[in-house]
Amino acid sequence: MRDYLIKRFFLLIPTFIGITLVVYVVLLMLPGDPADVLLGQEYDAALAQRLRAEWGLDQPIMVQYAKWLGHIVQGDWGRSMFSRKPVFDEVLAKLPLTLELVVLALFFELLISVPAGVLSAVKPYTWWDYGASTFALIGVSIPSFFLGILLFLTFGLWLGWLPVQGYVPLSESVGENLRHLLLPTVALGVARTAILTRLIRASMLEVIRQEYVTTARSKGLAEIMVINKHALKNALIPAVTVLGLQVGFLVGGAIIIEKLFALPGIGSYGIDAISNRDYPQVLGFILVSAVVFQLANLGVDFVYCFLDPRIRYGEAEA
Amino acid sequence: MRAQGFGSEESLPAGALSKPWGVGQAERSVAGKDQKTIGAWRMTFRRLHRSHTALFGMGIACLVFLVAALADVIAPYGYADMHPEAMLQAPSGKYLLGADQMGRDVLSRVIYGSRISVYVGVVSTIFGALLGILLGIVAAYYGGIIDNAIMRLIDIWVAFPNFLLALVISVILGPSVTNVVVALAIVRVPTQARVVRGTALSVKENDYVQAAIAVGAQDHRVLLRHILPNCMAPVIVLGTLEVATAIIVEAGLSFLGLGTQPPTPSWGWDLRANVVFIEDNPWIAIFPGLTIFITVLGFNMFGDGLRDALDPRLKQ
Repeated sequence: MRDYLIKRFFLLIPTFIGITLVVYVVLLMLPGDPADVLLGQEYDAALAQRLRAEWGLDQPIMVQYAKWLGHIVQGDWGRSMFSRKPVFDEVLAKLPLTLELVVLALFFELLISVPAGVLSAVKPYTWWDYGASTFALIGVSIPSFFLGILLFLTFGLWLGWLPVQGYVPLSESVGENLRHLLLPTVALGVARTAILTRLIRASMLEVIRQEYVTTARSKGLAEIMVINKHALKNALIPAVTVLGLQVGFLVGGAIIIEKLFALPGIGSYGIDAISNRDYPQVLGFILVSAVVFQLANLGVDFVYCFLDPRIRYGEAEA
Repeated sequence: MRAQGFGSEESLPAGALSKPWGVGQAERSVAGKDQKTIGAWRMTFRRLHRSHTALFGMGIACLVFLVAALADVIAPYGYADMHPEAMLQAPSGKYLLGADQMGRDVLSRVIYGSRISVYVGVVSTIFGALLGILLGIVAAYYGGIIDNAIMRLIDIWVAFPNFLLALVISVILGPSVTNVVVALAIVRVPTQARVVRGTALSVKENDYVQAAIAVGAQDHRVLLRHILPNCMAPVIVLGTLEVATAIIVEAGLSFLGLGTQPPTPSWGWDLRANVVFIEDNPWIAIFPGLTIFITVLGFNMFGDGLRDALDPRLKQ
């Protein structure tokens, strides 16, 4: 298994090269470069040419890409074309907020979907089940930004219970930090919670019909033990796959939510970069998003082994 | 895949193909006229007919299509008509859903906005599905290097969060409705391709396909006449659910200012433009948002019902 995971880890490298190459080439082939954007109305051909030379935009694309990649592996992600701040430092400064938001959203998902999914599978065709199914249907259909607006309006503006804008770093105050992130977390997490609830329900229904569950029951084990110790662990395997994939969706979804709640995370950073066509910033944003997504998928492979010891990647069957 | 789920394959009728589609005809001719067999599609429609939620969802979807088609007739005002006296007016007899900060009728904008949503949802899903089907079916049929090459390409394709990919593509191409369609179609290809490949791999092993190959049928005939029709069930279910996703993503991109551009009315853009006035005038943001929600709910209910009808074993 170790070999498999190492192989998986090293396979990430060509994937990153593929992604960044495509994005890099396409970005640079676009009409209208950053010099045009920066100079805007006061466009001056000589000045634009000087800026292009300074940014290296006058060199062939592959040369630019190779140079950029060489710098990336050395931790030099370039500087923002507009703020002149180092991209790597900016990404590192903004990433913790987005990661916290994603982790909180995942936690929220598990907190709601595991009990809801299990309960509706254990008590199928009851009000619990119908309630969970309705929640799931509504949850997957409501756009996160609309839900965010509704939460913002209800709990922030009308009831005044929670702050609707801004952010307090975790290092300053845990309580305030969580208060600021509660609404964005719910807005971001509800849709994925709904999907996970359905999945856990379906997979629990399948597992509780298995013979080993019947055996556990016939041994006289308490129902709660049967569900928790025997059924749930196996039912969670497909849920873990989806949870891993959801990290990617959450990183993507965080863009809108961060914008809506004015959170200075990597999503807002990316949107600003994209709007300004700030290439180093765009590439830094894309690279870090892809890294998070890929590492989450790798993490899923690790968790599998814990949940199901029979899974032994790449080893011959005994 | 679910709406805004950007599709996982979790909800697909993977086993929906236990009985090949289109074989009903052959069975019928073998069974003779007296022995009536029910075609798989007819059986599906019967099951679908019995599902109230699916019918309700289908009703919503049809209503949205109808509203989009008849927008010119049913909208009380033009989507860009400004009524300065009605600025930020609450819902009233004259402006049923109120008016926005420029005095434009919210109801009329919601009605016209359905055109963009329907157009983007349906067209991007169709193009995404066509390319996905092509890649999936070719990978499954030819196998070997072709399969490997296509699937590795798909792996890179999905190595990137979907919303992010749609965002980057639409920014690269520039904000416009057509570019959003292209971005969404590109993003949807991998899921369809994977699903079609998976289904086609099992369909390919069926005797009737092997028989067609054995009698020397040409590749395109085997692919189009024998394999493709039997891969359509999951494609249709996925497609229905993807229309819902596409509507949400289009609204999301427009909400960020990267999709449909004014003055073209779009639910997402209206939500963005009106959100700053929301504290005192909640209706101007709530109604466009609610419309997105109800439309997506409709497509999801229909898609779920269709999935259950295609493979009742999945309905547990």
